[in-house]
Amino acid sequence: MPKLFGRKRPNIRDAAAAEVPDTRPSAPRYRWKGGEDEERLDELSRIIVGRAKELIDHYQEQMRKAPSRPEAMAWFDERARFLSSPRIGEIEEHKANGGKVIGTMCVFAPLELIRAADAIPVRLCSGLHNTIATGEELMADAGLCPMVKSTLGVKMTHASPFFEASDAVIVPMVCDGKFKLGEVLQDFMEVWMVNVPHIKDTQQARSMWLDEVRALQQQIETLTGNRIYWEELKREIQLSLRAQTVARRLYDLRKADPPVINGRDSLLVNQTPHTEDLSVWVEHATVLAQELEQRVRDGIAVSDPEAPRIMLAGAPIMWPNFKIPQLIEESGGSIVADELCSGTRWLYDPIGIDEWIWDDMFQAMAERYLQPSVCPCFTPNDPRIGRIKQMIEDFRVEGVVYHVLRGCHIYNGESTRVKQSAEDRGVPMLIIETEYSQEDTEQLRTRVEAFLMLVRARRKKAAKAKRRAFKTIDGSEGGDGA
Amino acid sequence: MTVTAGVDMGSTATKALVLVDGRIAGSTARITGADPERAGEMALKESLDQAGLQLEDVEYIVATGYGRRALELADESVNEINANARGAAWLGSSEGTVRTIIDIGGQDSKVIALDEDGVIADFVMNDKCAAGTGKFLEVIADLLEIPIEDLGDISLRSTKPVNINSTCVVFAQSEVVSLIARKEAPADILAGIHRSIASRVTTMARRVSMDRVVVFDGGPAKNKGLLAAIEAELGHPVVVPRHPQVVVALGAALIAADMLTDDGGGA
Repeated sequence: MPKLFGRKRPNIRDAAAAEVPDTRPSAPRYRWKGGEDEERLDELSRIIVGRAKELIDHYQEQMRKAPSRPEAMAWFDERARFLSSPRIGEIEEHKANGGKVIGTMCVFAPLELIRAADAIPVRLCSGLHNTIATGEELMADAGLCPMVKSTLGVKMTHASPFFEASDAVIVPMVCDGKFKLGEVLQDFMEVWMVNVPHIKDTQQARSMWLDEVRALQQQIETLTGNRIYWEELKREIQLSLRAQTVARRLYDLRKADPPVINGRDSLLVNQTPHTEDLSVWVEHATVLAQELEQRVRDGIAVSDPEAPRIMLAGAPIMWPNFKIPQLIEESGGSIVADELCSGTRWLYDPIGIDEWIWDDMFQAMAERYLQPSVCPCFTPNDPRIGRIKQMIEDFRVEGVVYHVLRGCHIYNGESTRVKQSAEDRGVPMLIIETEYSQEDTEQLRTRVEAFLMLVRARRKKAAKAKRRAFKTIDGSEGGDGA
Repeated sequence: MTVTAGVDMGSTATKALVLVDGRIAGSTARITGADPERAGEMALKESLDQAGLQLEDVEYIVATGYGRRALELADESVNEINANARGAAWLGSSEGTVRTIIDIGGQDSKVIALDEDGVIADFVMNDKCAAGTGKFLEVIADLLEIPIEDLGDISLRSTKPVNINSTCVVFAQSEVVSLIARKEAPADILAGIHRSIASRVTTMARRVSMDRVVVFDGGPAKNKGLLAAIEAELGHPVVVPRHPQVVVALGAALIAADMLTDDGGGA
């Protein structure tokens, strides 16, 4: 295999690239009667979009209530309007000029390859509550993950302009939900299923994954008609590295005590790249980082400086399904860290390039999606436990809230282990199993409030113990005080 | 004389308790119904009547429970998990320091673990589902046409408890209908139901605490059959306070007293 350094090289599969067979079934596998009645569908879509806007308004209003919210959040707010974001116009223009849009799910799609082919990647995992009922018309499993049903419902009702703009969607086969979701979606659009190995650190897993990413490259090139060359890939890897650098800066800023940014805002900032132009995001994220650095110097807290420091762990929380983070922060907690795949997880392990030659670049780019991932779809998943422990230490976390989406067995399956390892470090953990609907909000509030009280009580106790120890060392009042 | 009151605005029953100088002077429980605020006011008034006091005599009122925000009379509202812990720890147990509380309420059940100082160490609640709650007992009592307060005594007469396989109230209801049709004795059906609830809550208990000093409170704790089933599942005796239904209201009244005297610790 020739390695040509420093100039454009033809893709090794030039000839084959043009011949990707269309694997879509000629007849739908799933019959959906609701889809035949266009009038009803339009009506449904209008209702869903209206409700989604209300939900977004509601959470944005709550988030703006923070006593001293960073000014740089304004851009992220505007972009998070989601269904009326200016981004939609930009994407429409891109499409009008013949550009392509490629949908992604989870965090396994090689975004650098998509961008290198001048296509726009958009993450389609949905946080909308009221598309679930429609999703259930084709995936009627009551115990199935709400995110999967919501995402399907979004496509069925044409509720999301980002979904509608997508020419194809990359669906990683990570869990049962995504597995079958990809299958059902094939009746609605072009779907590229990606085989993700579940034991990832063997030689055969590595080579299989490389082949999967190579196949994706071929599919991307065929769809866009753009061959991906060395220069474009390097450019996009460098952009990703720039984005990760600023995201890491924001991540480190959350270690500040008192906190300078709310957990909900951080989550939103980390989700904006799902649909935005990454280079534009970098600019705005840099402005935010500068503002926050100034706050750290000035000692400006975003909320109650004494608020319990909470870490959010577990199943993804997608905007605008901010029920849990909203509950935690309105009950007086401060989310200072998260390990969510919809949050900070994309920061880990930037693409490590030894030499800027095609094979090294490609391999490093591809492996970055597999090896550092701590999605519970992998086994063994010890690195996740290690990472959570490290975050507890780094962010001085006082309590962990572990979010389980009902039906997400892999996240639920790891919850006991995470709880035990948090407790080994003296940090309590609350497991919340819930769906997207708001009906259990009050029950959950009881738990969250009690949990925050528990964290505060532990803090008091620890302070008392420290004072006692100090007295004993001091000697002057030692002994009976303890 | 320091008078404080706790009002526990539960989903099914509303409880009130009046504390005078650290002693219980009156307590009541009544159905919550459609107007929780009125239920709270009535419960408070009845407790005050028992104590021979007027509303003006009360220095501090703390509300708790799901409906706690509905009671405008209250000076403060606290979380029922904290109120429960405070109440149960204060009552104590002859067996030693209370370390585990099993609370079965109208619409949820919870297990609270306390550390050696009575501070909450961990807790679990059942999911948004009526299995293992007082609602479950109500539905079954209705079906068998037995007054809810007789469930315990009747179930203790059982010689051969049936197996209830469903953990869902709706399914268990139809399961019981078919058991009735098969002419199983009500005592055996009830014993089976108690066993099923007991197995559910003791599984929760084992998740947070293995300590043997267990207090069982909430309205269903008055049910001796359920108590026996829980003791059998745990393999050791469980303490039930004399008035298990008002423990949370007691905790709220104690927290009210704390708030008068110090910075309002509570936990």
